[in-house]
Amino acid sequence: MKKILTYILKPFSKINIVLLLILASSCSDKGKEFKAVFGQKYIDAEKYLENNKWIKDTIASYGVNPDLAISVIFPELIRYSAIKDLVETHSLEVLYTQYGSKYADFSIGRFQMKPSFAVHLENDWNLLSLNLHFKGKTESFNLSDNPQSRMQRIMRLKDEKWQAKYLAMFFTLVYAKYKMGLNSPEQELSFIASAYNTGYWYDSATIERMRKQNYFYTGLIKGNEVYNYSEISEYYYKKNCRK
Amino acid sequence: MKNYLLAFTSVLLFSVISYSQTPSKENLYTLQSGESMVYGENCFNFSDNGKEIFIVIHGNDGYYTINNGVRKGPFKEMNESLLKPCNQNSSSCSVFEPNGNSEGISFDEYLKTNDDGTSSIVFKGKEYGPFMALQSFQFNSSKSFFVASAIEKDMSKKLIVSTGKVVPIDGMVSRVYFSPDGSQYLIKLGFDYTAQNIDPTKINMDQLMSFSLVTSEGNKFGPFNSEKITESDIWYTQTTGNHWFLRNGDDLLLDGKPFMKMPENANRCDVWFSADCKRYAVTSYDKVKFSDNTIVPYPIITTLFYKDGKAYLRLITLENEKDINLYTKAL
Repeated sequence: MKKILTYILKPFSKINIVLLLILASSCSDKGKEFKAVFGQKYIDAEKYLENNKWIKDTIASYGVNPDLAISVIFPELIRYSAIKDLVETHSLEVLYTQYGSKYADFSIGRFQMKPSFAVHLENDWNLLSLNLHFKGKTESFNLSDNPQSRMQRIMRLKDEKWQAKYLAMFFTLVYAKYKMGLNSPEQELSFIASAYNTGYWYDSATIERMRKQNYFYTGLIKGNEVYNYSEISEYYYKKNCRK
Repeated sequence: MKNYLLAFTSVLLFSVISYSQTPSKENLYTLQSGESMVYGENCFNFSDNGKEIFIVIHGNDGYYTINNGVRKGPFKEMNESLLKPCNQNSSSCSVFEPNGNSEGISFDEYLKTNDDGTSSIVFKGKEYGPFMALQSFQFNSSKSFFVASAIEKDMSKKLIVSTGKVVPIDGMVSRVYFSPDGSQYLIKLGFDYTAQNIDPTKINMDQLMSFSLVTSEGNKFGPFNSEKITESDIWYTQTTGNHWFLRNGDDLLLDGKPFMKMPENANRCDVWFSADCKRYAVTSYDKVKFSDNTIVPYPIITTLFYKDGKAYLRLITLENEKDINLYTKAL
């Protein structure tokens, strides 16, 4: 029995436990100075927000906390700054219009929203009860899976005012789905950021699991440098928004 | 008379046929069974002849790169070293963009302050001035030519052109648009806050928001309202030489004169004109439509190229989810 126990415990020898702790800590970006990590890309993202104050005003006009909303998309602004000169999305926009998301589902614009994300939002938006805040400000979406409606969706996704609106819709839907207050406490930011990056339509256990993982990258292809999306959002919020 | 009529009809018919011809079509690559394009990694790079294409596909046994028809792979994983840098196709927009962009130029090299406080311009060894003050200074894209605005000692305002031309102006230069070869320009003149004898109590919003356009020939157009017509509503194109366009709501003006309605849902990049502005093509997500009603559906790439001095559009499509085709048609 002792032999068996030794065998089982062997992998958890002191050295291995130390290694496991190191590995565990490396999976978290807590305490990381993201501004230094991303450098100019981070600064560009900050400048973009400074020069486009209308985004926060628009989001606030829809009854959504603009500081939380901006923090959620901040990692995407960094990524956009990194890849904007490397990608050319027009071809993909045509392919999506022509064949749909099975053929091309890709991130568009500053907030890096995909057509499939927009379809989820639009579908859930149409199903929302009418008495919710700002529901009345948006007409129902045409969800037909045809080139015309796909083209309209692409045009919305490319329009920055619509991106802000989609972001506000995302918050409204997440609040409704997870029964959060409209002035969500900042502790919920991490979860909402994970829901934005993972897909808010997944169950909370999946979003929570993904929240702890490092899979955000700023290149075209996922490489060795990956970061925790939610922790970048939290970092930005703490630096810029916490009163 | 009959012969004249016959000859005229033949010429007319030939013109119509030559410009309403169906586009030429060429297959660049056909995806094989089980293959699909990896959309995140495709940049559709083009060489000068506009025919080369780089794509990444995923097949049954991994990733392949297709570079001008040459297939490499399979690769178990894609990594950035396998990709070609994704250059923005500068010709995918019909607008001539580098209009007098003087960013990043050190003006110290060209502007000098004289001992008496006046300013002069020194360009290619020639001195222009002295002027009481210089208000603006802009180059064409090749920096072979400049347009400046200056205040003379008698407080009058002049446009100073490197050709030696001096033109009196009655507004503040807010933008200079240069034609593609840089030989022609269009000056946007706004309200002049620095003008003498201005009574601030008599200035109204319409005056403040109004601007006029002056061509290099000295023709003046306007006034226009800068709230309705922004800087991006005025442009030269890559294909129409010294002709310039102005969009005023749904109306498109050519060289300052009414021309046609702006095609529905089109932005300025989407409308491609022939050199004489008589024929055009409008690009959108779902098609390119030529003014002779020829349609090429779903162009994933639109590029411009010239052959024997004539402008052509090259359009790449993906048809039946497998055929990557190239269409070519003269503007």
